[in-house]
Amino acid sequence: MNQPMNTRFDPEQLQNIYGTLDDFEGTGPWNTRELETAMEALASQIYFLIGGEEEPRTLADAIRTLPIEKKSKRQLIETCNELQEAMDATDYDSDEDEIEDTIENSKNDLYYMLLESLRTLEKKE
Amino acid sequence: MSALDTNLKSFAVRELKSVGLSWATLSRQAKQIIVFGSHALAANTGRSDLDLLCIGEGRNFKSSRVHLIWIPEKNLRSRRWLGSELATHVAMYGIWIKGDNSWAFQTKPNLAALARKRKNIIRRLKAMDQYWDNLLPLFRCNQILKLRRDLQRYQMMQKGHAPLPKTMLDDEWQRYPEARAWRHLLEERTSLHGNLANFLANRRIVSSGGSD
Repeated sequence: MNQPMNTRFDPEQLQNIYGTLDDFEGTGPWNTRELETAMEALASQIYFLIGGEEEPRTLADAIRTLPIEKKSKRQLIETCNELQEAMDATDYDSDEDEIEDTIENSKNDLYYMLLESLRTLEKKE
Repeated sequence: MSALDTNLKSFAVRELKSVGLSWATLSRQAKQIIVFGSHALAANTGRSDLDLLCIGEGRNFKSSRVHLIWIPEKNLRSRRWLGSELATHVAMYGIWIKGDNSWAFQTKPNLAALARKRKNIIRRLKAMDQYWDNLLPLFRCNQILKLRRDLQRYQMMQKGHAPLPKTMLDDEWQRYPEARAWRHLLEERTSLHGNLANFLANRRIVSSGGSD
């Protein structure tokens, strides 16, 4: 663990994150604008939950502040970056079907990993 | 290659090295390498990254200094690609630092590119409306900035012009007092949706009450 688990999380904030996470999971891979905004909302909500000296500039930044295992954190950040890269590619690549598959897979991976991490945090409180 | 283009190539070699990439490797993989964006138009600022379009097979790369985009050679025959936002921008402003231009001659974006831009603007608007209350101020500002630039590009594309890089869009925006007023208006949460819908309707991006 990167930091001691002695923080009490605001249950309302946690519920807000779960709500945004559900919306994120329900967004189609073609709607990269909504996915991008949902990821920024998740980054903001994690910052509201955890706090910290610096506001995150990306969801990956916010995930770095989560008190979870290093391995889970690394996987989450990698998946975030993969998803971002695939979403960026939709702005100029014409092979949309292949990119949409990549986005859908990365999005689902991110959803389940983040959900699991948050539930673990909630239980450990 | 002109002296200016040679300088641009030397700059590209240095920038690639600074992010751990090698010009020699890139040059072997790509049949053509084209500088586009603010550096191609000499409109770069200290914070501008170097945008490179590589023709061939390779992996996209993005950092604060270099942005590499790979397009497979087979796409150069696709009408969809040739009329796209990026391809028309490259046709108009691109500078070849490896190989010669054999494909980029269409500078007018096609209808598919226009429709795609319009859809993305509306999707961003909807997403902003949905998530606005949960966004940190930095993200709100970035969203508004991207929305405004997309609207500017859309308007250019509607007029049959290839889109400009963001530094030039920002310069243009600063010239008009009413544009600044529009930005302030957008920062007001309560008036965001209604006013923007009117704004878009006036510019025929969406009709009043229209949807995606």
